[in-house]
Amino acid sequence: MNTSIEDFVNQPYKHGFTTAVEADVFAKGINEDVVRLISKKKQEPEWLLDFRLKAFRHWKTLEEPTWSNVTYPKIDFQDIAYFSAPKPPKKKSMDEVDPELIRTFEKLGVPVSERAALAGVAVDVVFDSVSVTTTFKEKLAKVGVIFCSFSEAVKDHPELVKKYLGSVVPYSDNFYTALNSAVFSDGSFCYIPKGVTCPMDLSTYFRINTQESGQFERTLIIAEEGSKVSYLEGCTAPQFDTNQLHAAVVELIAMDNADIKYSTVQNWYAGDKEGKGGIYNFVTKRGLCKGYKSKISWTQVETGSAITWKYPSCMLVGDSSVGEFYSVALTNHKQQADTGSKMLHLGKNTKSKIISKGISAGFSRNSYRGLVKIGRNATGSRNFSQCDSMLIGKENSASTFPYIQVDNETGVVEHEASTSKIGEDQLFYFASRGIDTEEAVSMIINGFVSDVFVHLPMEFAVEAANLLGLKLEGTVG
Amino acid sequence: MNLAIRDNFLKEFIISPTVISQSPDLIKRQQRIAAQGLSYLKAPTVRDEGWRFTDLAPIYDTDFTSPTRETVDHRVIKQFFLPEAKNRLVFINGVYSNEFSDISGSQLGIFVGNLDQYPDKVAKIVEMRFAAGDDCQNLFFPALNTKMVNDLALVVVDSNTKVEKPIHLLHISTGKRNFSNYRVLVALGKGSSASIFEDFVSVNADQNLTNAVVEIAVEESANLNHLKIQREDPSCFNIAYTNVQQERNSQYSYCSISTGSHVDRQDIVVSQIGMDAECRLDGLTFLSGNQTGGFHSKIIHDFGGGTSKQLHKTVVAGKARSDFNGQIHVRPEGHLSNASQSNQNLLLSNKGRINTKPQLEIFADDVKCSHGATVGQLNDEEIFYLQSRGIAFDDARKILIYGFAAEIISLIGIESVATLIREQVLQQTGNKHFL
Amino acid sequence: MSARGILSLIEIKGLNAKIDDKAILNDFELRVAPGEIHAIMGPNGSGKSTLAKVIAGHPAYPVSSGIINFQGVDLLSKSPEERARAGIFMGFQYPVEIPGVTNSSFLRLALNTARSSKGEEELDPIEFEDYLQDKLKMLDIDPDFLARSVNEGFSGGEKKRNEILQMAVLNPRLSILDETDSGLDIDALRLVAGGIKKLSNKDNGIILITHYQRLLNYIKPDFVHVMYKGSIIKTGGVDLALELEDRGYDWIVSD
Repeated sequence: MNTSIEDFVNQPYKHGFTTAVEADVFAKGINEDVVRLISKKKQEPEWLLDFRLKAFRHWKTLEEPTWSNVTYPKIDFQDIAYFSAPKPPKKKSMDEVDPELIRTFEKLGVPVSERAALAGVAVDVVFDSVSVTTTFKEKLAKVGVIFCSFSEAVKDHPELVKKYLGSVVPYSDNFYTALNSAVFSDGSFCYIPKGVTCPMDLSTYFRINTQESGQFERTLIIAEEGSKVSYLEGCTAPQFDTNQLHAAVVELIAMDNADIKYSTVQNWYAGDKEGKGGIYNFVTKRGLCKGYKSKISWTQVETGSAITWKYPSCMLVGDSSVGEFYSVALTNHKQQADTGSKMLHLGKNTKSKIISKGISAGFSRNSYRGLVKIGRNATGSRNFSQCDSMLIGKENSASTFPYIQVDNETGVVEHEASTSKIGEDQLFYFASRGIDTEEAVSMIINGFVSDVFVHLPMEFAVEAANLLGLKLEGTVG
Repeated sequence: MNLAIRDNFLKEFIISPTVISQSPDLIKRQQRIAAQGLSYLKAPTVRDEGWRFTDLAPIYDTDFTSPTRETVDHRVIKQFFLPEAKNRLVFINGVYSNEFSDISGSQLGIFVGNLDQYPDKVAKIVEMRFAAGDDCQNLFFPALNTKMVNDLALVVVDSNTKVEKPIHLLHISTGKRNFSNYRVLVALGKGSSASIFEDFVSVNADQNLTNAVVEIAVEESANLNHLKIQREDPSCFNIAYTNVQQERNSQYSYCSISTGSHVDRQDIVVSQIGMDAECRLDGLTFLSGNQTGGFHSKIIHDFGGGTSKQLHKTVVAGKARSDFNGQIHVRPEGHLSNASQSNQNLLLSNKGRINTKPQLEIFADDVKCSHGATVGQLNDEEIFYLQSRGIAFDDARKILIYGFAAEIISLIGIESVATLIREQVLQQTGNKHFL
Repeated sequence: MSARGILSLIEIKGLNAKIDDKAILNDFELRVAPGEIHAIMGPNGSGKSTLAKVIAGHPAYPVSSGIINFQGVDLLSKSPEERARAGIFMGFQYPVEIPGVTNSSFLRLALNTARSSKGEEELDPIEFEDYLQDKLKMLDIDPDFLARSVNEGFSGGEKKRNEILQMAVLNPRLSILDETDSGLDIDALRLVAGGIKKLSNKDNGIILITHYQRLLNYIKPDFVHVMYKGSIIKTGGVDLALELEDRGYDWIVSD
């Protein structure tokens, strides 16, 4: 095997540029005044300020969680800027957006502007916490779909925001949700009316640009009875030596027979080879299957961030509702990921499925942590979980922490997990058939993750596959 | 959980210095360390990760006393004797019983006994092995045991010695609200082999707490079969910690059957501290009524070439609660380790609860590890199949429960114990046709 | 149907069964007299397997209306085990595996519950052993079968032969064998069919549910029925089976 996999992986981060856009950044630090200032800057109604303040006061009583299988220096929450927005303020259409920004997105390969139309994707771009533009608003409006930035939603649809904000993830849920609820700057909002199948995939692209700012966005998706939507989320950040905090909150609500598919490709800057810099990605994502036969499906490809700490979850409240979680988490160098899912079966005949594939390379640490709970009244409920790990190299680790709790005697839960490696004999077998190491590794990895990738929308699947290839170049040798 | 009650738990036992002064010198040093540790160690509660699903509140709510010397009818005790065993150590509430123990079957190269008298080489082993692992000082219940015991059940086998017959370690819990500490130390020299049978029973017992610690060393190429039955009275509490050190090329097989006590908590740690060690952990827990059962195992593959295989089955009926946690750790040097684990649970009642958490922590890449956990109930198609052959619905359920347990029972290496457990399971499932 | 068999073993009249509001049995009628072998054929989804399960009393297949009269007794009011003890035997298409329970103890339990329900003496293990050995010999089954757990790790052929062994041990009045020939290679099929033939006598009745004609090369049924959409739409002799083999089901169904 001539190619060293180690060299092959150590490709530089391709999204690691900063954009010279003038930004409106708050001084570092957090206190009640900062929270008020964020709210004022965004001209928010009183009730939203109240929500923020309640969350902030609660946050002050909390301590950072330490239970996950990740280690990092203590975060100084006073050393973070809690608001950063590109200046001048928002433009009316794509043509008026700062060309520098557009070039940024071109570099990122984001299909904004008219290219987005061809791709059939409506894109909301959140740049350092502030929504820059939302395409396709009109086309969507025709069928009654609301897709806009969170700030716009607060202005234009306050009744919806007020009704659902914090209804799935209460601000008091955990340390980071309380922080996010206090200081969130923007995000995406999506409402699919009764019986409507959203005519195109909706997409949000998140980017952190400023060195010392944190990103705290919120996403809220409401799918009314019988509606259907597929939502895509992509994330990148420039390279800095310091760590940036990303603490997002995502809330999904599915009514009777509604179907929400939420796909993420996360490629925040992971830090350099030595583990310097990179994003701390501490995210709370939760879906509420409120209605009968509602369905929420999470698919994630996690390749970035210095530290990932997220557990997209489903609360299966409606009878016969369905929750799914498909995940590929790849860690390399000194990355750490502690990710998985929670499936809470509360309604009758609810079903859930968890397929998790972890790949650890370099000196990284990759953990699956999950909870499957079948509640006392969740008669006839089922879960199947499969959590596989693959280790590449000798200095990394893979762990599995599945918690299973069954309180109903008709509940059936099956959990399987395994670890494997790319074996020398496998590579030799490929080589003997004329396939080089690089190709062989890519084939093996693609086979390993295929159960998850089939659940990604087409364009995303291609992007994700490329990303894995890029991230793993040179890891095996 | 009322923390004040927890903190008061066993205060007098924790503080009291008198126990150590009565102990043999051989173990005093470790006991003093444990006593110091206990001044800051806290008894675990559901707020501690490892105890989230084993609620010890019923223990902390009980007012225990030090066991007084109890007399038990010898006819009652004799019914527990194992026909296959040649050597038998009997402890009553943690105290050695000269009367009922039988060490006449000693052969050259084997020492079975207690701290009343022992040869020099055994003294050396006790000095080296007693409370040698950190857990016996750092974990609350093992540390409490280390501090409180003033005797040991000892099994020491010399190198290259084969012990043909099983050694019976019988612990009898008796009396009311007694708190007993019981300690076993087993050391197998290089190339030796033995089989031990730990048996926890009750005679006229009411709300007793037994806190047991077993320390086992299996030296190079030695082979130990370890069978444990916990069948104490349903009013009692049993907390047990087992630590196994496996040296190069050794084999250790553990089979644990638990049907007894109100709260039953077992922790076992197997450390493979040499290459190519093999271990097998099998277990069966039968829980009904308001029993709480916790089985936590941790297998550490510290060196290369080690294998472990684990199968643990649990049956939960009534309002019982079960908590399984199976950890497999493969350390960076644990190349070519091969570990598999399966935890299968049968939930028979809507008031019961099953928690299970299989856990893999892998730090080496060329390993084969897998685990699986299932929670389910009796299969309707299987019940119908039996019914279609004329077997009544209730009997069909019982047969299937028995069938679920049979796989573990078939692994019991001692025939009389296998028969005993088979009968007990059948009795529990109440099916006359299989008796 | 003809007026044959006044002394019928089983008489099914106007039987209807639904699953999720879908009719699976539709005014189904059948009569089997002692000594008769009936074959029920039909395309997939015609309700053949449901019929077997309904007769055996599977709880997932509730009967909405109709009568099953078995030797003068109303079968529908009985539990599955009562039906089995009364002499109904269902051979499963997919015999269930029961780990941990040996075939011999299972067979003895099944036989003894049936015997004691009829007020007969239960067989002790030694008597049972003798009884069983005869059956094994008759069916040419390896005694190793007995020590193994019920169907666990059995090949498809072994499972079906085990069903026939159970049939031999229980000596039922009426056997409904559901696709007993499916998934068998030619040797296994011959063994299974041979067993069924040996067990057929003038006092018992057999209903063979099958998709293919090939089983009927070994066992000659007295009647061949074609089932479609939950009822019998055509009845004939062995010739009908051959014709079905040649022409498929479409010609009958479209009539």
